[in-house]
Amino acid sequence: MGYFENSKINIIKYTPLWIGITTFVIILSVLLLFTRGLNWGIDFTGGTLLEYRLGRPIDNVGEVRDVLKEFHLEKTLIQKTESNGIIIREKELSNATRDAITKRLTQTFGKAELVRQEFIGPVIGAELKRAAIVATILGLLAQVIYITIRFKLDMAIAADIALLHDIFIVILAFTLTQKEVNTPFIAILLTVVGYSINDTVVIFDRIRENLKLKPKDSQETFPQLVNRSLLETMTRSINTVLTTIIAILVVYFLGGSAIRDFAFGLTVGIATGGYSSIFIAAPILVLMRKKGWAQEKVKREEVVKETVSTTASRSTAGKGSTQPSSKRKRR
Amino acid sequence: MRTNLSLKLVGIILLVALCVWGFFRQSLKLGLDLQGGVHLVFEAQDTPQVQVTGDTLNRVQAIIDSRVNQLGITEPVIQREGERRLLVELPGYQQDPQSAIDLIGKTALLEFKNTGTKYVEEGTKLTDAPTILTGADLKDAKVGYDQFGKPVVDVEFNSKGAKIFAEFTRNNIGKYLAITLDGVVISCPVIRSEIPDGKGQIEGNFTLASATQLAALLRAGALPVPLKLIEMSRVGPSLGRDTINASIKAAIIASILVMLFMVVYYRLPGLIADVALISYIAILLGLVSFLKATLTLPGIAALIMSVGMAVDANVIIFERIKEELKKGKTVMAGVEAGFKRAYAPVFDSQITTLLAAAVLFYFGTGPVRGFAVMLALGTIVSLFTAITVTYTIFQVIRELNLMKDPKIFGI
Repeated sequence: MGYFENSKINIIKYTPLWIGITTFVIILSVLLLFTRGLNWGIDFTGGTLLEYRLGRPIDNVGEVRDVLKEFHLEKTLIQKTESNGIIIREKELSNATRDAITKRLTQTFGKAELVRQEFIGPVIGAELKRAAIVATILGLLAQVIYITIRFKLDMAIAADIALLHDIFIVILAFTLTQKEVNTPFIAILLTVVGYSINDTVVIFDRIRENLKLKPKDSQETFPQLVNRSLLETMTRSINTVLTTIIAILVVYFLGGSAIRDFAFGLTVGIATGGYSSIFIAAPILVLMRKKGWAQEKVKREEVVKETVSTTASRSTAGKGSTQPSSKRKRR
Repeated sequence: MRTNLSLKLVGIILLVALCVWGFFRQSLKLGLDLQGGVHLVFEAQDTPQVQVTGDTLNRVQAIIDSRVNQLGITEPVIQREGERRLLVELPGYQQDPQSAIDLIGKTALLEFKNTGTKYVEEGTKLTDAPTILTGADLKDAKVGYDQFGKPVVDVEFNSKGAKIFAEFTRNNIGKYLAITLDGVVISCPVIRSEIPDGKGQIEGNFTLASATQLAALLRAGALPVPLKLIEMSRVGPSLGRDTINASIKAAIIASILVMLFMVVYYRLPGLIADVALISYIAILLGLVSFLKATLTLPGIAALIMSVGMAVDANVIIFERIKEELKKGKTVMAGVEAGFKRAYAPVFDSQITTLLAAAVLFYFGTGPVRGFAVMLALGTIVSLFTAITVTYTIFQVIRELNLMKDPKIFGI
């Protein structure tokens, strides 16, 4: 039992399609990033966050908004967590205002337990943003260096393009859903970076091995070889993503509200990490090697011609001939 | 069974047992997001007189240390962060965080000022009057009561302070003396007689709590520079508890689902991988308690996710074995070849995760760092369990002659 093991699907053949999709996604992601933007949480913007557990479930945040209006906090962000949980975000709230809000909420909802509160100064927010960007870039660089050492530079570049794609997908997911972006977002990005590379490495390792084991007289082209490697590793690629996504989805559904957005980001990242290794990293590698491979193929064909001519000359000498092309069928 | 193999097997069982024992013997160290508590970050501010240096921050830290001790918190964290920041974590602190901020972040510069014949009202800011003595000249401060039973702060000067105080009171009988805290007058008594023994009493508008706090602040001493609060978070104990319960449930269900998947897809080897996975969870938890690593909410997410990732090495190896079997190798030869050939991709793919975790650890703080630690530990442990433990079990099964049919691989 395995997925696509014996299929003849040619993933590499559709390279233009994959690249088209990737380009589209990246452009869309960048466009949305600049038009709609990310919903930066107070970790990055600075401000105050109050999380309450109310005495009774609320249908929508309107009831809470009515209470906050009394304090002239019309623009406060209010978010529902559980049926009776709410999060309030404001720039800066004094302790007096906070206590007054708690009191009014208690009056309105029977109970208002302040289960979490946070205050982040604006300086810290800016610093964290910078650290997040630097960390992501460094993470990417570390991977490029490692792949270059263990494999080859063009493989590293191909893997990194897949990585960039994954990062953009995660960003896209967060701009689309407008989920809050806080410091754990860096953890999502870097985990996705590590995970996506992990998937790519296994495929590249197989390509490398297949190249090494390739019989001298094989007629298999590089794109064919890459495609074969992809199919050979397909079961692994899918199963690994499956087990990890099973685990993280459980966190998403059962882990509680505090971790839900984090699990969401990881799920998206791991799924796209698995996809990009197959449909971006490998096809791009083929594209990059195409030129070099064409030359090599010409050389190889010359070699084949020579053997043909020698056997031909031999067969003219009356001995039995073997067609070197008989091995071409191997795929 | 060969002795070599038996030793390996016993070693693994002992290791797992040790880890389970360690896990149950020692409670896990929980981050503030899980056990509740207050997290504060202060930044030292330059004053016209004092520039913040590493030395200043050391003194600030020592003073805050002794102030935090007054709170009676078990295992508080007071840590320098960079050039001018101090991180204070108060696990289990359940009062209003503002009370902790007031106690920790106050400069608490006590000054005795000469205002001559002028009475200054409590609460006014007083900067111009000449300073006679400061809190630095104090030997001790504690809570006491005046004749009406109202709380006061009894102070005692050191010998140098006592001498100055005696001389000043002798020469200024009938005049006023202002006592200020951080420039704000808390009391402005009339000097009735000379105070020769260096003992004084600060009568202010105190409650017992505020008198206790002031005494504590005076004992710890004034901060050389003012502090500004730049980050605060407080998690209530109920939220933390709910989060822990939810995560435990998630962890158990996730593990069961992953194990089911493995056994359904890979049959006997899947079962072996499941045994390896159980040992993985045991070793990881044991390691976390041995290393006293702090478990945070993102850390738990990493732990659960790593259960899914940990079987990755097994997936790679098993797929490899299946390929080898299809080439017509015997089961055991296939297993041998499968393991051997899978080393490189398994190793390479795990290193990349480690790299990401390292960068994350370097840049992250608090919960994010907890995530990085779990991710790294999980990766390392999974290399051991997915390769060594699984391989050992395979060998045992071969010795017991249980494995001949390729069907057990689900082919």
